Amino acid sequence: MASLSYILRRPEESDGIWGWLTTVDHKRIGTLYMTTSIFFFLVGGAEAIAMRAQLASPNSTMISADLFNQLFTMHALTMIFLAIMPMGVAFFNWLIPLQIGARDVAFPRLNALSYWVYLFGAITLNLGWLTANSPNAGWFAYANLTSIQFSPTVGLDFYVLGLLVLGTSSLLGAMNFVVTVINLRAPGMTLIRMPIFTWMAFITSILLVLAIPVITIGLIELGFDRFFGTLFFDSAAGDVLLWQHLFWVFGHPEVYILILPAMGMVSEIFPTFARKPLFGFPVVVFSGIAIAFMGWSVWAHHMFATGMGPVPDSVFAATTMAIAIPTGVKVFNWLATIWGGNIRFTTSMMFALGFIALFTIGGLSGMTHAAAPSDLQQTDTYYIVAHIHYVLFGGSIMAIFAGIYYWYPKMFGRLLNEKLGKWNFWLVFIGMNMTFGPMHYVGLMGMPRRNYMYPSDMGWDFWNQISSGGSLIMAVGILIFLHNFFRSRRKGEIAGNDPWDARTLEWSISSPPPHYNFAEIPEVTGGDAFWETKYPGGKKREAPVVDIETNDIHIEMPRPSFYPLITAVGMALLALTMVTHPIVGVLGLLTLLWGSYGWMLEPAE
Amino acid sequence: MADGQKDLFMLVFWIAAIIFVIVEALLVYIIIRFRQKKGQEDYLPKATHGNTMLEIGWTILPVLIVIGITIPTLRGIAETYDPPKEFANTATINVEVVGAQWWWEYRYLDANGDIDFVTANEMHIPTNTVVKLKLKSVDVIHSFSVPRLAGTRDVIPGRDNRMWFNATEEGIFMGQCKEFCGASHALMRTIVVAESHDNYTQWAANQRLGVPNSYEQTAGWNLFQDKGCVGCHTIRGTTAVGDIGPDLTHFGSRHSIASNVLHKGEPSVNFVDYYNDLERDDNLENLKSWLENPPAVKPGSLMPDLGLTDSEITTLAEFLENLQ
Repeated sequence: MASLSYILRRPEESDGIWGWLTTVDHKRIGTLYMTTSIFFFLVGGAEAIAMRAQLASPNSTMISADLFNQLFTMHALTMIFLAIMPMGVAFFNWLIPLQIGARDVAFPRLNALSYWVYLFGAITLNLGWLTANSPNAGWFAYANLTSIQFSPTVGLDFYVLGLLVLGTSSLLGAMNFVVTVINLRAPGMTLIRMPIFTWMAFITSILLVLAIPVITIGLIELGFDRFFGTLFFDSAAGDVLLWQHLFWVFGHPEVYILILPAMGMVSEIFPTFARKPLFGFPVVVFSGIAIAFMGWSVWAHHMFATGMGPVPDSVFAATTMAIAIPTGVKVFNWLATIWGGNIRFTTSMMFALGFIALFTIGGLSGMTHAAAPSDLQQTDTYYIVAHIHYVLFGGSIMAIFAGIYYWYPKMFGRLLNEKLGKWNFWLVFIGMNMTFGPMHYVGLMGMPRRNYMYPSDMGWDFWNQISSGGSLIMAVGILIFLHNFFRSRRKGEIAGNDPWDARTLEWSISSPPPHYNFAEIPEVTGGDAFWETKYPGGKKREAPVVDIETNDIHIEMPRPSFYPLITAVGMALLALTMVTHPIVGVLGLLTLLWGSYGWMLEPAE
Repeated sequence: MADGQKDLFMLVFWIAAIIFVIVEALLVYIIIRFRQKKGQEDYLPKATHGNTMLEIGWTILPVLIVIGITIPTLRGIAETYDPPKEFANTATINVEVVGAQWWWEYRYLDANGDIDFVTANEMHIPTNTVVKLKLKSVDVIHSFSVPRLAGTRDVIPGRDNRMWFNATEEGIFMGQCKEFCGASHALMRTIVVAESHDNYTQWAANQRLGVPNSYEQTAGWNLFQDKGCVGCHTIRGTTAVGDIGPDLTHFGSRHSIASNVLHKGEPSVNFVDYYNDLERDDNLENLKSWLENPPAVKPGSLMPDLGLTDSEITTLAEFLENLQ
C-alpha cells in the first residue's frame, strides 16, 4: 500500500513543460507573468487597432455597433487587468527577492497559485469571444445597463466571473509580496535602505490588498443581481449610483496601482544611467506613500456629472487637485537626479526619459479635469481618452519598456539589441503622440467617447485619421520590440552579472541568477547596497565584487508542486459554474478540495 | 454656463501649459547638457543625495498653484446646478428632459409645474432666458449634453438631476448623450434651437395644439393604426396614446429623424451643412430609409422592421411630414 508521502511526493526539478507547470520559483513565475502579459498586451493592441480602423473615417460601417462596444470594453479590461497589472507583478516577482537579498518570496506555492489563477481569469474574461458575446458595457460596466434586463446576453456574466477570479489572483499575490518585504529583507536592510522599486512594489501591494475587496463586493452584488434576482443596483428598489461609488473607490486606487510600479522602475533606471543616486530618496518614498494614501480620497472625480451636489463636487475637486502635489514632487526629484549626471542614452534610459515627457502631459491634463465645472465639458469626450492614454501608455507602458530593456539581461542573461531598441523607442514615441495627441483637440471639439461611429464634418475627421495613422506606427514599433525580445533570447550579447554598472543587489549575482539567488545572503549597511561594495567611499574598487557562482553549493530551496495548478483549476471551474452547469461547480469544488488537501499534506521535500 | 466653463478651463490650461513648457524644456536641456561625452564613460558625477531647501520649495510652489486653481473651481461648482444670482430677474422656462434608449423626450412645464406639452428630440428655447432642466431616465443612465450651451449632466433612473442653460444668441446647438447606454449610444443625439422670444412663443403655441380630427380620415392614419404605430407613439388629437416611443404630434415641424440620426435634408447633404441651410428634402428619402428598417439605421432600436412596402412607406412618410 503506497504511503501518503509517496502519493503526494513532490515532482522533481525539471525543464520542459512539466517544470513550468509545477514551478514555485519566483523567477520562473515572473517569466510566466511576463510572457502572458505581453501576449495579452498584443490582444489589447489588436482590439485597439480594430477600433482605430473603424474610427479612421466618419460614418464608417466597417465594424458593427455591437462589436465596437465589445472591443472598447475588452480593450480596457485586457490592457488594465491582463497586461499592465500582471506585467507589474512580473517585475515584483523577479525583483523583490533579488533586491532585498532573499532567496524567494514568503509563500512560493501561493505565488504559483496567483499566476495560474491570473491565467484562468484571463481566459474566463475572454471566453465571450467564442460566441461573439464579450462584455460590452464598458470596463466600468455602469449599472443599470449591466442588469439582466438591459444586458441579457452572457457577456457580462464573463465580466463578473472573470474579474472575480482575477481579483483573487491579485489579492493573493499582493499579500505574498507584503509579507515578503516585511519579513525577508537581508540583515541590515532597514526599510529606508530598501531599493526604491521594491518600495513602490510594496506600496502597490498594500493598495491592492485594500482595493480589491471593494470591487469584489461590487462584482458579487452585480453577480447576485444578474444570477439570483437581487436588487442592489435596481433603479427603484436599490440604487444605481451605488455601483459607481463601489467601482471608483476601487478604480481610483487602481490607477495608482498601475502607475506606482512604473514610477519605481524609472526611479532605479535614472540613477544607473546618470551615474548619480536618486535625488531625494526619502522624499520619493514618502511621495509614493502620499499618493497611495490620498488616492483613496478622490474617487468621485469620475462622477462629477452624476449630480451628487455642490458639496461633494467641491470636496472631490479639491482632493484631486491636491494629489498633483506629490506627483509633481516626484517629477522634480527625477529631473534633479539626472541633472548634473553623466547620461548614457541606452534604450532603457530613452524610454525612461520618454516616460517623464509623456506622463507630465497626462498629469497636467488630469489637472484640467480636476476643475469640476470644466470637467463637465471634458467628461466622456476624447479629451479624457487622451489623458488616460498619456498616463497609461506614456506613463506605465513607457516605463515598462524601460524596465524590460533594463532587467531583461538579468532575467535571460543576454542584452536586448540596442539598434532595434532605438527603432522600437522612436516608432512607439512618435506613434503614441500621433495617436493620442490629437484626441485632446477633438475631445474639446466635443467628440464623445465610446461611440462606434461619428458623423462627418463635425470637424473631427482629419484628426481621427491622424490618430489612426499613429496607431499603425505604434504597432510597427511594438512588432520590432517583439522581434527584439525573441531574437535576443538566443542571439543577444551575453550580459554578465552587471552590464549597466548598477546600484542594487540584483546586479551582484549572475545573469540569470542561480536557482538560490544568493550563495551567501548579503549584509547590508546602507542604501544602494551593491554600489557601496563597488565604489566604497566613492572610488572604484580594484576588482569588482562578484558573487560566488558555483553549482557545488547545495542550498535547500522550496520544491516544485502540482497543487497550485490544481487548486487554480478548481477555482476557475467554480467560477464558470454560473455560466455552464452545476456539475461544473461540483467538479470545481472537488478539484479545489484535492488541490487544497494535497497542498496541505504534501511533504516539504 | 458654457462660457464660465470655458473661462475656468482656459485658466487651468494656461497654468498647465506654462508648467509643461518648463518641465519639458528642463528635460531637453538636461539631455543635451549632461549627455555622456566620449572618453567620459567612467566619470562619476557628484553623488548629491538631496537638498532640503529645494524639496521644500518645489512642494510649496505646487501647493500655491493648486490653491490658486481650486478657488475659482469651487466658485464655479454651484453654478453648474443652479443659475447664479445675476440671473435672478431673467425669464425662466422649465423643461423636463427624459432620457430613454436611445432618444430624448422633452416635457415643457407651465407656471404651476404641470406638463404644458410634450415633444421629442428637438428642444426650442427663447434666447436670453434661463432654461431650467429637470433630468430623468426611464431605463439606464444617459447623460444630457449640449456642449456649446452647457456641459453635461447624467440622467439616472431612480433619481432626478438638474441643470440649466441660457442661450445668448440664436442658433442651432447640437447635443448628444454622453454616458454609454447601449448599442446606439453613439446615435442618441439632440438639437436645441435657440430663437427669438416671439418665434419661440409661436412654436410653443403650435406645440400645444393637437392635430385636427380630419387627420383620422387619411390613408396615412389607417396605416399608422394597422401597422401598430399607435402602440408606441402619441399623436395628440387622435386615439394614438402610446408612450414607448417619441411623441409624433408635430413630427413634421422637426428638423431631424430618430433623435438626429438622420436629418430631413437631401441624403447627400451632410449633417452640419443641412443645419446651416435647412433645406428640406422634397423626396423624403432619409425619412423613408428610416421607416424601411429602423434597426439597420439605429442598432438595437426598439422600433422594429415593420416589413412595409414602398408605397406604404411613402404614404406614412407623407402623413408624418404633414404633422406640422
